[in-house]
Amino acid sequence: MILIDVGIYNHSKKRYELFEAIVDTGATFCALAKHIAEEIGLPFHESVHLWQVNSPLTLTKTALKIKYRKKEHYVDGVIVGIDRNYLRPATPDEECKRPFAPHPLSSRIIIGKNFLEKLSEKERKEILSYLVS
Amino acid sequence: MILLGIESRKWINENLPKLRKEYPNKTIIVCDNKVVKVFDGIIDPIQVNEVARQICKGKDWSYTFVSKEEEEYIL
Repeated sequence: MILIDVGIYNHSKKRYELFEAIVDTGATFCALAKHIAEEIGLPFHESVHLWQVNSPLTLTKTALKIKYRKKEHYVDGVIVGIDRNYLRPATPDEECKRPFAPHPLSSRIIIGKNFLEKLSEKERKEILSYLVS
Repeated sequence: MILLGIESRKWINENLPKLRKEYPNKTIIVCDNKVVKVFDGIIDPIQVNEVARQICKGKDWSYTFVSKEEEEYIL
């Protein structure tokens, strides 16, 4: 897994917030959880259909202002509603139908291909090198 | 102004195996190449930002949820 830090603009507080981000070169868009999107006042736009592993996934599009290093980038993002029960670890007596760890988007965002394409080649290479270092 | 955690992120990534043993299933804030705050479980990132703004004033900082086994179960 490649983890980086990015600033996401918080429309409610008019400032950037630091987020831990999972770099996912297989994701078309950047993605974040609905409860976080609501908290930082992101706009909810039209629906978009995407392929996930074995079925289509319908998500809500949004517009993100992301700061990486000293530059600001504007990219499309998608908002994912996550069942509240998945935001916490599984309980010991819970029927086994989910990983024990909380959902990865409980405290992180996904940085997708559309953001990586905004970066310089040097920045992209640097980020991807984190996987092997 | 926000300071993105360049150095602190690097430190977290380099020390993750050790952090998994010391802080399993905790959220940590890192500043000056050390852990400066530990929370049980997952914490809302906006709350983490609030705390880090106070204890890491003007410094490079970062946070992570140190999952014990998360990376083994993501497709």
